[in-house]
Amino acid sequence: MQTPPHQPFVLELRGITKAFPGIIANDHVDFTLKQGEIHTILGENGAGKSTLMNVIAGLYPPEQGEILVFGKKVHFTNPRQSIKHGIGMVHQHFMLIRNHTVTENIILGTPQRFKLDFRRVNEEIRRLGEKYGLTVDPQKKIQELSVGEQQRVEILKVLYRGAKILILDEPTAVLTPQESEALYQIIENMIQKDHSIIFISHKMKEVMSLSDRITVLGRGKVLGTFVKEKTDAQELAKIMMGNEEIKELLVSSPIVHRTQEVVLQVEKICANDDRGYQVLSEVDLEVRAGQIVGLAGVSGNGQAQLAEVLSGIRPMVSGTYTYWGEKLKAPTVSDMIARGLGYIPEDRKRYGIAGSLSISHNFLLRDHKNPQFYGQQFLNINKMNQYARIKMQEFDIRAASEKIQAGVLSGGNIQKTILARESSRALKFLIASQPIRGLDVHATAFIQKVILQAKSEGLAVLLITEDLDELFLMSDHIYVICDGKMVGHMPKEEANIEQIGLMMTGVAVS
Amino acid sequence: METFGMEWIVLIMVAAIKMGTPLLFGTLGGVISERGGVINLGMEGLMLVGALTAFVVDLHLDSKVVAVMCAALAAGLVTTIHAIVCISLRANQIASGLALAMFGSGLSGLLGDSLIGKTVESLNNLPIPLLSAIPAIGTIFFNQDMMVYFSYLCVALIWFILFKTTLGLNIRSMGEAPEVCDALGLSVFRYRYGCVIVGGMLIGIGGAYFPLVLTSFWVDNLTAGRGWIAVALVIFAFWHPVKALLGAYLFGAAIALQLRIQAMGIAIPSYFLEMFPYILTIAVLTIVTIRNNKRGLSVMPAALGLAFFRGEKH
Amino acid sequence: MIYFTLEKRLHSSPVTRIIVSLIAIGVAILIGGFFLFAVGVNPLQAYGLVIDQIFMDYWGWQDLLVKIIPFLLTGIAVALAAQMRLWNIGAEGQLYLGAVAATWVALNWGSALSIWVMIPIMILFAMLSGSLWAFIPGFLKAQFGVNEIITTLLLNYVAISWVDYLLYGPWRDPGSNNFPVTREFPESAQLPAFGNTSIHVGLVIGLVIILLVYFILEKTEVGFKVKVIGDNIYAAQYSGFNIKWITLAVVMISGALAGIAGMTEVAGVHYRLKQNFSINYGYTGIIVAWLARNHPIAIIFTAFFLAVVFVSGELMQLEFSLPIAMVYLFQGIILFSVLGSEIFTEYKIKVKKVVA
Repeated sequence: MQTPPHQPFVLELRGITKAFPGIIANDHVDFTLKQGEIHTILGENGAGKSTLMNVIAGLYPPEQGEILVFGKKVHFTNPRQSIKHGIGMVHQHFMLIRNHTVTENIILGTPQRFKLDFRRVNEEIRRLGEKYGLTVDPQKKIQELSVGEQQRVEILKVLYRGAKILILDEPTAVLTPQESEALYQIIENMIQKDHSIIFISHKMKEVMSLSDRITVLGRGKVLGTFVKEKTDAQELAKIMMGNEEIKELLVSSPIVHRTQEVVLQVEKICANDDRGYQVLSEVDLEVRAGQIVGLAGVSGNGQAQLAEVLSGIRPMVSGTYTYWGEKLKAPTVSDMIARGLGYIPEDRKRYGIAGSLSISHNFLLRDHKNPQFYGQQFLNINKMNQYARIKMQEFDIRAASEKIQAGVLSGGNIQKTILARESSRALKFLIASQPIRGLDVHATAFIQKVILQAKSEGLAVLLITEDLDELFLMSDHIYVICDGKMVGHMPKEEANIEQIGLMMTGVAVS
Repeated sequence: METFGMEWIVLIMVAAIKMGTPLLFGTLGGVISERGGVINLGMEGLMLVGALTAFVVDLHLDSKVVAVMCAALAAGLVTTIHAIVCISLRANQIASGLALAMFGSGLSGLLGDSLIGKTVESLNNLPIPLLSAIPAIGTIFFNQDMMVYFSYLCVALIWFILFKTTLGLNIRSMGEAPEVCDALGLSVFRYRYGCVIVGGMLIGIGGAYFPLVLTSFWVDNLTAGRGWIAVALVIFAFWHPVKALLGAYLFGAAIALQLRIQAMGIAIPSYFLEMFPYILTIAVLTIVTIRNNKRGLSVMPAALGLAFFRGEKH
Repeated sequence: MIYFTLEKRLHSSPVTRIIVSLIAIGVAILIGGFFLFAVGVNPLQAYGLVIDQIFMDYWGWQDLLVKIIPFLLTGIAVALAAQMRLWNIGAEGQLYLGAVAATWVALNWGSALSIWVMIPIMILFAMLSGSLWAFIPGFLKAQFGVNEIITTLLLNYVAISWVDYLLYGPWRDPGSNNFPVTREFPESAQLPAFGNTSIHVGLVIGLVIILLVYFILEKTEVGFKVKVIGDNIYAAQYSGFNIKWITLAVVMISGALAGIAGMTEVAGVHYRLKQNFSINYGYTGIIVAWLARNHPIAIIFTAFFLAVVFVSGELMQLEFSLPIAMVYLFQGIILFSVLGSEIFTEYKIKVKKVVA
């Protein structure tokens, strides 16, 4: 499939419109991709990037507009057709089957002989991988692979299908800095072998270093397309966020220099996961009042379990846990709530809310003893609703009514609900795990402001994050965890991003 | 005959395979359906539909082969309701399975009411030359009826298809991650319908074994709960056809033993012996679950029981 | 090209759900009519008889109000467990065990105690017995995560064998000509009926229990916890609820309620324990609960509907000598039809035209 010389674009979208109940996700979007080009699509969450990519990949047929691939008009009604035209999508949430091997994942859905010749196919995939620098063992099961390796499988999957146009949907969102570097190299390799790439990201630094052209999407519309050399990060950020004042949204973090009381101190804590394997080994941590301690680490290295131990969900096997000077032996969740511990869980939809109950009911989670909900010993729905209405106003939670199911709220509104609930008690210590992951600029700024405000009033905060920008913006002191061990800690002023990145992957210790 | 001697054990084993064969067909049917991602709790009802159909056809046409084929077709047809309700209409698979169980037992009870008291001839044993001459093993495994041999073939065939072919890879993927299959252009509907219906047909064949071999007559509720044991056996077998064979024969042995002890007139009231296979099932299921928890790996198809609909996220 | 697509409704109102369910039941009646026709019964005549001899008839209403009692109880039993996303398919066995306990009390203490003492004790023992029977799958589920669908179901077979043993063995009434029935309960162990009707006090017990469950679920802390566990077990964990304990308690209470249904049947209808005294009442509870979407108050209506189905089935038995299996078939059709209709409460069907 070579581009004819008179055909400047390998892919062209004209006036693509796609609506879902209640929202227009893409509104007359025009977009072009040249041979051998990296064209970035930039935009906030909810700007319509993913929908547009799914339209190109054939998952959603558009209501209006036309798609031209290598100069030919196409109508995709299912993904197979787009694959046939040489389009391959690498999804942000990997579309891999964890129980299957790499080979099984790659060949799934491709024409093969009825009786599978695994030896031949394994070899084929090994060779393809070598060609692009995508090394991965074809016989391993997906669940045995690291996130970076899984992503390579995703890329191999589309290359195996002969994709010439690759869509990479926020590919570095889940990678460590080192893994990201490796990916950039792979992208270069692919460009050299005549592939064209649509790159989706909101990390300005990589966007500016990788892209040839950049298209900014906002509320489903194209806000502009720019050649990299003729623009800069500031301009793009301004356009992306509309005409609002950026300064107002940015938060600044006052560093606390005074030494305050130690709120939480753990020494040599060990804990197991649900299956009984040790996931925390001899972890030390100290958090003081009025201080935000940032805990950096690649997800899955024990952060979640540490948060669970501290909040009383998971028992510790050994070690000491001192909370406001009191040694705790086997604290329960209720104990910790009573002691003023707030916890914003990493997986907010899974842990933080009961999705089919009303917003009002969700304010009772972790707060069901609060007398404000009761009248004469029994729950009073009017009081519950009234409480919810007040909190919704206070925390800018946008919903038609407090009676609707919490599960239909957007991620940002769910997070605000959780924050409202957790911070409405007299808090002494807050664990915030990935508090802004996947949120748009406004929700992010709001949540960060609330946390910083609480800190300045003396709250001790443990911030668990993978996002190094957030880590450096918010923290006063940084800890790094890798493979269940604390590999080091330092005041923020003494830390730098490269060092933290290396420590997260276990390459360096401080 | 010496009780508990070698000869006695062989006799029990022969009976174990007879008793285990309907369970085996049922479990295999369940394995196919669940590998594709759809639970079929309605096995009891499907077996009854298969049993009644086989009985009626054999009674009128006097052909075991046609009887088995019709049983498969009838059960396949009835499972199609389950397939439509769960796959196209996206309803709860467990509730639909229960509806299927009620529907099947009701239908067979209604249509079979006038047949109570009639009998058909039992399917003959057909020793396989040479193989049946092996001492003990030959008598147990190769001096059986055609349906038993067919069940061996099914085990081998299903194992080969599931793990060695493209078709099998696609089926297994449907049970693990239908959204991935859909994104790669495989038709989730087509595969799932196929798995549920083919699975249902096998379950129906399992039902046919009751009147054609085990009882020779029809009574209301002929399968007496064996369909539910097969549901449990699918979990016990870790969704694997070869382990399904082991599980089915283990339970076949339990039932054979129960009948044998009953026949020997040992002073245990028969009502307690009747409880035995059910209690054994619960005990075994508990052990399997505990072991699974410890090993921490789930062999259960990840998308089992979940309806699929493209673009669900919006 | 024209094609149909489904579009998720943002809100599905209760009114939509009720209308869709009613249409589904209508469709089930049509399909049921087809099966009646297939076995040689004129469905119009059959349904005509139902209206004439049940709805337009004093005795018909009396039958309905007796039949609704076990369904109220097994329905609320199944629905309560379902609030926690647990399938109690074992209501049938729990009902049998409840009946056994009540019978034991009646036969052993019945002649010595007054009715005011007897009835509460029988209820208490039935509850205890049903809850202990439910404890087995409940414990296995809470402790090890053993699939409760299979365990509760298989225990039904065990329970029924146990009752068979009692009826053919130690409990058989010597004066019954070898019928598998117990002696008749003494009068102090018989649930009183209203006036001259056969409608017994079980109706009040059933309704009171339903209201009680409703109140507990909506108005108490523990009810709130049950709802959260049922909706999202991780959120419950995060909130520090004692999931194991609450799960076990709810399953046992569910078993206790089914046990009461066994007691009201033997003490209110048959005045003795006998074989097949329950015609799948426990399984029927599943349909009652599903139709009501586990809402306690709605169960009163769906239990009534299932009572209509059963009384009609008995009428068909009498008039056309159809077996009781007709009722099971009809139940299967109703459940299928209602399940199949649910998509229309959650999704709108849209017709789309695409100009190629």
